[in-house]
Amino acid sequence: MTLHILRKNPLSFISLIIILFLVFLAVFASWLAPYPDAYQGTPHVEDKYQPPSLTHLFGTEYLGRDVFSLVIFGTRLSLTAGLMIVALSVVIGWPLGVIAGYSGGKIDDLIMRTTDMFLAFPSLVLALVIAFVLGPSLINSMIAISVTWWPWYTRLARADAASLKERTFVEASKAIGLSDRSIMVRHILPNTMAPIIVQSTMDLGTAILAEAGLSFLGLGAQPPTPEWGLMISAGRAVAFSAWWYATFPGVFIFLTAMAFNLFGDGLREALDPRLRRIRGE
Amino acid sequence: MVDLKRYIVKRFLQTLIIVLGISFITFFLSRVAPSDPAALWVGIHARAEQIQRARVELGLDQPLYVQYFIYMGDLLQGSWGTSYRTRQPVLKDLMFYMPASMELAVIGQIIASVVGLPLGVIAASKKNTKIDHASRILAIAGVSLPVFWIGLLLQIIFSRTLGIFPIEGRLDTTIQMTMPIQRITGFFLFDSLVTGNFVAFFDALRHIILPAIALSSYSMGLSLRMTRSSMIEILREKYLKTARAFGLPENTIRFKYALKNAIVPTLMVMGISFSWSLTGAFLVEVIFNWPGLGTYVWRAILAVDYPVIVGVSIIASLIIVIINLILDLVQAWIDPRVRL
Amino acid sequence: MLVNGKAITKLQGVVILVVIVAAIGGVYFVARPSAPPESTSTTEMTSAVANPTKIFTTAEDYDFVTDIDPAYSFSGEIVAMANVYEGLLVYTGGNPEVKPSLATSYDATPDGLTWTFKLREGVKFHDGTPFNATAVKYSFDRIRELGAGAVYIWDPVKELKIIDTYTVQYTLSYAAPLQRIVSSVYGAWIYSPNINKTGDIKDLHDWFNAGHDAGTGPYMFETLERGVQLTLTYFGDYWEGWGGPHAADRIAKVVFKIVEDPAVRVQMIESGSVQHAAAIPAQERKRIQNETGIRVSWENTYFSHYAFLNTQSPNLKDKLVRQAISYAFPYQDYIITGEGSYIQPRGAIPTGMWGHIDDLYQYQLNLTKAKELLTQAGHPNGGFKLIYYYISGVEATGSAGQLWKAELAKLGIELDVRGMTWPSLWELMKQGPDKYNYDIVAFAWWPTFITPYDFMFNMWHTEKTPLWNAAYYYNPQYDQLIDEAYKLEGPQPDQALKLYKQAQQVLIDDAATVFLDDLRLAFVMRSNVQGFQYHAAIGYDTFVFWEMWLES
Repeated sequence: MTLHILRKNPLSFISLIIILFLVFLAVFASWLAPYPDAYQGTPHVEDKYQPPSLTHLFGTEYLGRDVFSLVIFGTRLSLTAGLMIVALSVVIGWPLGVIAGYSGGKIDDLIMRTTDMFLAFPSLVLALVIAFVLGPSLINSMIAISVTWWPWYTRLARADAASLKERTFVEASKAIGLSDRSIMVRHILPNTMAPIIVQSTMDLGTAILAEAGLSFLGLGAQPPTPEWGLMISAGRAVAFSAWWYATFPGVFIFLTAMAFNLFGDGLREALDPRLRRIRGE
Repeated sequence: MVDLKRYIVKRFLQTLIIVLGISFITFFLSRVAPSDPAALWVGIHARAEQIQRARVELGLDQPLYVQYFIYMGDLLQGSWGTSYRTRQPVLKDLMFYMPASMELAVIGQIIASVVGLPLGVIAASKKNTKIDHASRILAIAGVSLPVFWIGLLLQIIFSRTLGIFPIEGRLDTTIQMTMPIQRITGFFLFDSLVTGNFVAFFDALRHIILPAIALSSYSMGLSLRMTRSSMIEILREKYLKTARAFGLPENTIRFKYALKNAIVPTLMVMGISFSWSLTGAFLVEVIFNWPGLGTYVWRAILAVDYPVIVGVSIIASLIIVIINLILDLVQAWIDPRVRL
Repeated sequence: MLVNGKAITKLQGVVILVVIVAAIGGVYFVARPSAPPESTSTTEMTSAVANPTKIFTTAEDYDFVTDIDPAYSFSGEIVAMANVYEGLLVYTGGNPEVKPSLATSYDATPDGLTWTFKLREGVKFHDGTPFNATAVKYSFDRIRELGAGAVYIWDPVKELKIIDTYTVQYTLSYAAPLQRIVSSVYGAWIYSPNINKTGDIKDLHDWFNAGHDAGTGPYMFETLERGVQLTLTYFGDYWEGWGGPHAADRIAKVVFKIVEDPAVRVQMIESGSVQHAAAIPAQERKRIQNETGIRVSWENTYFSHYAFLNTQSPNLKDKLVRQAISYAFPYQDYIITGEGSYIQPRGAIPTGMWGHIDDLYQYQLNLTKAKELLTQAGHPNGGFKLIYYYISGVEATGSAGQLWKAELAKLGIELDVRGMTWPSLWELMKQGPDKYNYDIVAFAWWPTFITPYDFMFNMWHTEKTPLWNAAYYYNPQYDQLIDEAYKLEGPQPDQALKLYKQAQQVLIDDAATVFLDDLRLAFVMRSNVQGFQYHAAIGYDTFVFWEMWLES
């Protein structure tokens, strides 16, 4: 049903193809990469900074590793990172929002004030401090970003849950004698899923960007991990002599983020334009 | 009027609680990092006794909650502490770096709105045509562009190859020395214009364009997308059908009625992206060597400079909260149906 | 709009908005800083003048200004301080190794405990105060009172006496190379005692850090915008004068710009908008070094990288294992990655520095020997893991780790290479040997003042409180050797060298540390920069601007 609507929208269809292609790259990276040992960081110092050629499609970098292989391995890292960030944010934010919206009163107030506090926080500063405190690494940067992202999902879920609360089927469930907890888990949670899914699909692109940004700054993935943001950061320093090192990972970040954003956008248009209002974006 | 006052008071109280909470979180969070600012304060090859003495001097030997109370006490009296790294009062540093960030955020926002708003309107009214698709791609491209990558591209193309715009900084060094801009607000564009220093004005303009463009891509994408979807919503609304039924020209409908209501969510987006631009802009600041709040807090994080980290968080969140308050008030003012 | 059901007029709404904005604006205007401090030099630009268009601009790669109080200064601001302040002597490292500066001559008793310095006459501070013995005593007393910065260099000194207006005398409690101590670029600057003569200044430390100086040097602080740039302007009354064959081309102003992005620095030096750019990536340097307008000058610094082997960790406490992995580091490959920036070190003291011994034993990559040693130690096939930490962002020690990892893998040893921010890493080190946190830690060292003791004491002397001895190397024989050597540096330097050599041999034999590199620095400058002479003792990348000029 949804697929049918998507097919009507050629942009979303193309973006879906790109996404599937990226997933394919990520899953089969070890087979697809022409130089699989690039992932281990094995140096070939004789081959430093070779320009793009037939043997090295995207050239080589400072340790002599093949940039094309590195970019392919990077796909796996970035997709996983994006997924984990969104998943973590959803797992924290969604239930909180449902509890807040359904319970109302003091619990709602408490949760929403906490959410407001996190939202008022300059998110980049918070993410940087957390990443610094935990120590620079890919996983820690994912945690840091999730800590700044969950409030959005809480807000989204709360608004939906609050309106669902008034519906008759909830009253009916209560009349039967279902506990609040059961109602939340069995009815509210599933019914608030749609906007959450739409939002998380759209957020995947931004999550990948955010993670690349932190790695670019040095607080995410550490060398010699083939992370796109990290490669751009290393590539910037030699941008005028080894332009390929910063350019190709950048193209991939851009395409990946665009594909996810386009797809999510199409999904949103297809499912329900009114969802946007609730988020208060 | 009494009720409006009460509302504002309520909002300010909420602001206070939020800022208090944020100060609490950053204060304790930054101290969780394993590091010894006393050691960094005395100098990298200092001796153990010196480090110990510095620890006492900086008040770091006290229990955490005592340190927090001392800090908040000082804050209320107007002292934001001294940066461990720059040895300057944090407030002085903040007032130095903030105008730079503000100016960049404002110009970036202007560029984003000038491009995004009209395009959004056009796209909405020509929904599902080629123009619409193109604008959607543009909006999403704006939001998907890694800022640190586009900055580099802009520098390579416009500074290095074409030589049109300077590659870094706010002002040319020679101009800084021969005809410096008198510092009134700290906004170079404003200050130079107001004091009649036109040479410096144009130089400042040349310097701010590239970083502002890099910064604007994200905001532009958001504004475009938001304006378009709001306009689509509103163009569907029944009351417009009534206006059309009455025979009002399409343009009047579009701009007088529809846009006015589409402005509201667009303003919200502008507010959010402006707040983001203040501290999130620092990827742009690093690339273009723009001396703003982002660079300042970044260096502070690396040096575990507690007073600065907490100070910047407090002020940034204050700004965000105040912007939200203003936006809510403006939104209520424009749209008579909104209840505060 | 509606508030609790009551309508508010547009006028009231506007008023509220205006009030809020005005309140914010008001707070801002009250709190904003005033204009940057004006030039604090009270002396006029007198006869000795430099061409005001001769401005030397350099792009620095990080915010190097920490503390510009001459008593506290202990960091990157040395690049400016060395041009603004002077000490009694200057270390040149040649023969003689020190040359007169604010002191014209000195004398030491044979036991090395009493030193008398004759001071230079006719020297003025930037504020006009004449330089004499009072200033020397004032600067010395102040740093001792404050206990600030590099005060510990004065540990051997019992007291400083003023003999007459132009003579001072140091009395030491044990023999030490005082001529080297007074030429230190940290903690030995002499500045005007008259700064606070009006009593207006509440805190001298704050006053200095607002951008003021009180030195005798050829340049003065003009403007200081923290994190952005620092400018110096020349001091017309400098005692060495501004004449000479290139008087018209001498440097009148120096601008230090902080440009953290390497690509931008490269662009700036290529376009000529700066005369020097720091930390140019090797790849870029290779590309531009032959362009017309660019000149690259290679210099040996006193900076070196060390990989400290934790002599108390479970796997490395066996000397044989330490020696084995010392034979497993690919020294030559590592040098190649440096593109000319690395020299393979011999011993602990950097090449070219006094105390560097040319015939010390040097480990080389030899996997056969490594395997032999491992077998002797009972690990013929390796089979264990080592943790290697370096400061994240430092390319040298990072790639060293990667290269080492590849070689160790051939021996069956897994090297876990981890980057960590410096503050966190230091905390880890300071936890001490009882906790197993790492096997190897890699970082750089450079001297405070020129003595091998600075290296050998800080990094390998037994410590009660762990601070810098990352190898947790507690060897009383070694301690004794270097403590003795330091005392002999003044009265019997040859004997001191013998002892330092012995001590280094002990270190090498114990394989407490793998000496990764001595750093060479490529100064990337515009070709119109003339008169550049490198003085390794004055800091990693410090220019002495008074010696230089800019060709038209």
